[in-house]
Amino acid sequence: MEAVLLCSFLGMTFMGVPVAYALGLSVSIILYQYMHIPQVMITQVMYSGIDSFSFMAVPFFMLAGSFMSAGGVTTRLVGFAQALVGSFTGGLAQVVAVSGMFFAAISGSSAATTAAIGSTMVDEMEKKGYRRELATGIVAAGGTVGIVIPPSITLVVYGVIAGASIGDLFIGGLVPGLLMGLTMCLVSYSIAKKEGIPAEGSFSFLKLFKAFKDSFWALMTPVIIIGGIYGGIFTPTEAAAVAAVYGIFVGFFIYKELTIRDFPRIIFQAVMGTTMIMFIVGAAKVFGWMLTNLEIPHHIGEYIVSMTSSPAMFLIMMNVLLLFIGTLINASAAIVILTPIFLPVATKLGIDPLFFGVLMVINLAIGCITPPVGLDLFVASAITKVPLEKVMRASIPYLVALLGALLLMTFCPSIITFLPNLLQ
Amino acid sequence: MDKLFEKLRAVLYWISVTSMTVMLALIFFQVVTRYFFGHTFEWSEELARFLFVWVVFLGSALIMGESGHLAVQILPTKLKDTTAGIALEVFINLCSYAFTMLLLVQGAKMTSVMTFQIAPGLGISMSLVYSIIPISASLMMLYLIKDSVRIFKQITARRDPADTFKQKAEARR
Repeated sequence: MEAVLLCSFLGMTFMGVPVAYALGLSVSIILYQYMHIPQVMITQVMYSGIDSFSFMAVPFFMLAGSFMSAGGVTTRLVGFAQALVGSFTGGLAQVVAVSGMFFAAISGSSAATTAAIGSTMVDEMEKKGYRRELATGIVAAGGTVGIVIPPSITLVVYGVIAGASIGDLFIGGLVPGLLMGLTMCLVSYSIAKKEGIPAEGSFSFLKLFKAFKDSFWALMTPVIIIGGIYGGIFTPTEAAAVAAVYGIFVGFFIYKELTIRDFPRIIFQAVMGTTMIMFIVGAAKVFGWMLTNLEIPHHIGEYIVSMTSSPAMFLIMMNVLLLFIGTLINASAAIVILTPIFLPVATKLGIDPLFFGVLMVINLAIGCITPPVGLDLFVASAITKVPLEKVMRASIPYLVALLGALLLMTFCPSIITFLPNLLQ
Repeated sequence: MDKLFEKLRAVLYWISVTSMTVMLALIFFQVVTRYFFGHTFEWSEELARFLFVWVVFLGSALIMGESGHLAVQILPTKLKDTTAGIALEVFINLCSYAFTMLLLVQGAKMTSVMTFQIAPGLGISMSLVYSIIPISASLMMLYLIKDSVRIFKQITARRDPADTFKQKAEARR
């Protein structure tokens, strides 16, 4: 029965059946074949999976990111990053990494981050002597931090599924996100050195201050979100709604680049993005319900414990699995399917659920630039029209460096857990 | 037929965009009223949640006319325009019918059985909320039929070039 469930799901998914359908159908097969439970359970459990207040944070964070980027926040954040690190060797490549981090702090997804910085930075980098494929690869890598640095849609999804505090998860993603950004800056530095791209412009506090003032309103977003959640002023969902309204306010009244005519398009984008994630969340809830019914997480847990009782070994295995899965499907979709299977195993081995969640998200983020099918690679290649293979090759140094950072965090859990524990 | 789908898309587009806007407004004002007046309406969170469910299910029909539901595209892309690829498309199409049928039938059952269940905040019958499942499933069905027609045309079109090639060869003779 267990085998039928897993194989029918995996089989259909790999043949290209939409993931949500494959989840629902494989459960339906089990109900029909082996159990005396009416099929109506499927729609019931699916409904209960979607009807959740916490999940409403997903569309609101999407809206916040899109309103801000349509409102002209991106150019200002890039400007600030430029004033901050533009004068170093490989300045523009560093600017990409740093503005990726800034943008990640107002948006909750990797693809959105890559798209936002990709459309502004690549042409400029080409003008300054970067090969176009190199620039595209750098942009693809720069977007990965989008789901690690708070707010993060993927961390929201993990928090709801695992029953962990979303506020703590956000704080937990902060240091790893910064570490990833710093790693990418170092890679950019060495690439620019090798390619012989000169540094340009000089650092000045005046410029930095001016750029900071320009982007101040955008940089306030994460402060409002995290401060509001931690200050007990609002729940993560309400924080997301406030951030979205704040995005409208900033784009409309301060930067004045947002127009009413943009609204339907932006909101519709959020509808589509939400549907893509939430439809799978609903179907995955049904699948998870069946998994628990058949005690599959328990069996997998026993099997893994019989092979190794060391949490480190288990985490390494998870790293490999998640990197692979992160290349295939959207990070949030991967979280809803895998968390019910592996979180019980992790807790059995004494791994902190918060650490486990953030590590999973980091993994899936890196999966976004892992060949052959990382999502960010596709997004970047679609924006700049550089063939996928060339983007892949250009982003490999970043991939290797990020994997190093991942290993470090796997063996040093306190990098992730230190800050949330401190604030508790 | 394309006109019909265009109209359908326009209707769904505006319903979902409006619902999403109302959702955002409800939650935002919930924060405002709580912070400034220390009071929230019982129904506002509930209404937002129901709209959320509606948006997701309406969107799940709409998305089929846009980028499609999330799927692992490796095999379909690799086999594109081959006979195996078309067989695969037929298989995916059939699986989609099966799942949509499941939603339609079981969703309709849920809607008709749950009439007695009342939402605590709004005081409306839950079957009103559940009804979106069969509604969206029927809309999804429409998109699936469109997809089937496309695949069917593709199969017949594949035969055509071979025929014209033969005809050309004969004409040359």
